Amino acid sequence: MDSGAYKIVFSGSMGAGKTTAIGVVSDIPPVSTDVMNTDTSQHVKATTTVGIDYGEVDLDHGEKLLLYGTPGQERFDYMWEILARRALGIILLVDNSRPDPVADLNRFLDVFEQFSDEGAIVIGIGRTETHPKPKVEDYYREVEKRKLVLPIFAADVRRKRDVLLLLNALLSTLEARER
Amino acid sequence: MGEKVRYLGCDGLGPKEITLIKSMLRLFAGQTQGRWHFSEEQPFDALLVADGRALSSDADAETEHESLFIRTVLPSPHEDNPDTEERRQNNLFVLRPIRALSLLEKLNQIGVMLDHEETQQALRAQGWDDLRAWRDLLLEWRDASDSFMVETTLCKFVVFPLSRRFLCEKPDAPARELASARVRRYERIDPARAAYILRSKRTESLAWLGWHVGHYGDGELLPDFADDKPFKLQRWPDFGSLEHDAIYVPMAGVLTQRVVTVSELRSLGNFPPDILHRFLNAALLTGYLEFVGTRPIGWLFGRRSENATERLGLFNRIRHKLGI
Repeated sequence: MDSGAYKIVFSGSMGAGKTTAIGVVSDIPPVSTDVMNTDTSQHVKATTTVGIDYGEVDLDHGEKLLLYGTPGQERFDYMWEILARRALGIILLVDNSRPDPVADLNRFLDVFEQFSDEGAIVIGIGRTETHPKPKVEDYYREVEKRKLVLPIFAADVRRKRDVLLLLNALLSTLEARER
Repeated sequence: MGEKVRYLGCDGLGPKEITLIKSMLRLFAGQTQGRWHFSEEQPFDALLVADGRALSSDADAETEHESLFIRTVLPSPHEDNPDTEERRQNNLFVLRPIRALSLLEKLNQIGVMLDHEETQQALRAQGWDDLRAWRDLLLEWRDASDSFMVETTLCKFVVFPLSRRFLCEKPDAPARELASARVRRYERIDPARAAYILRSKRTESLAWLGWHVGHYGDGELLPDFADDKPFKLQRWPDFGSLEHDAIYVPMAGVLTQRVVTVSELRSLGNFPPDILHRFLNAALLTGYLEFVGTRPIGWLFGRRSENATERLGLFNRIRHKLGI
């Protein structure tokens, strides 16, 4: 990573809203490699990201905050870990409308759990208004089984306010370690 | 479990039984609702009374299945007639020979009843209003198994402590209004009726209610917090669903990673006192904040990196750019 470039990774299952979340805060139109979705067993959306999403935020004086979205499909899971290396933190998005979203969360935590020592992990649960179960409380219980204390919020990533809340929690976690 | 000290006395029991009860109370330390001690003289919180027909000089005969009734300081219609069938139905007795588990169960049952009565008395004394009234109720419900009806100035609530849920007559009322309503009275409700209501209606979590009671409270720190009493946040509140002040997020960041006291927290974050108090009250009333007895070494400082100042500067610049 270049000096003056810092990375935050958005991860989560297919259709969880990674591309949308990056687009909400990025200074540039997010660069995505969306193609027709041929894997409708995972999600029925028309297009999906097969590579990575990319956005950036200019911090002045040449510094940049780079926003990466991981590919959602499990067959690209080797990419998740690579992208997470040296990131400030990971925002993990869970789609509550999926058949077993708690299992989705666990699959991603299996990969990212070790990262919680060096960076911050924040979890956003999407589509809770149309799919109220499992409840956010159920996710907390699941995470607590791993002896982790992570921020878990209901979040609609189409709303900038919600994406900023996730980023605020990520920064707050990092700041608390340095105070 | 609570730490209130309770006193158990005996009337009409023989020396062997008294010794047995004393030894049981020592064994129960830390396992009961409140800390029970044996007392030779009044005042008692509960009194084990031998059946009047039986024991005097032959108190140690311990007739099988004979009952010892339990009198409590609680106001009760049975007090005038301690050995009625009604008292038996209320289960305020233990059978001889006294079994440890049976006595433990009864003391816990009485502890909950005493807590309930004391909360009622405190509420009556305070005029059933303000943050503290809700605080007393919310803390009492942590150990309660009965269901309750709470009448407030806004509407009626039905509370199910076991499932940590509640429902109210005005589910669409703004959180601020619900949490700011003053408590007028509350009472236990029939378990069958409570179960029916719980099945038939959509309920909200008690943590949600506790949070908003604290958040919309008057900003005075609850008496549970002392300047030198350390605590930690065991869980992040769901700021996606709970109304909050933006500064609560960094507060939660600190409190989920450190064991701190109120005075340390004030100096650590430069947090405005009234907002800090509302946050702490809200966290306490959700049950997410826990007081801890001892602190690990290095409790005050986090895992500061060598370039902590530089990193804090970076986080500030990101915040500034994103407007958070």
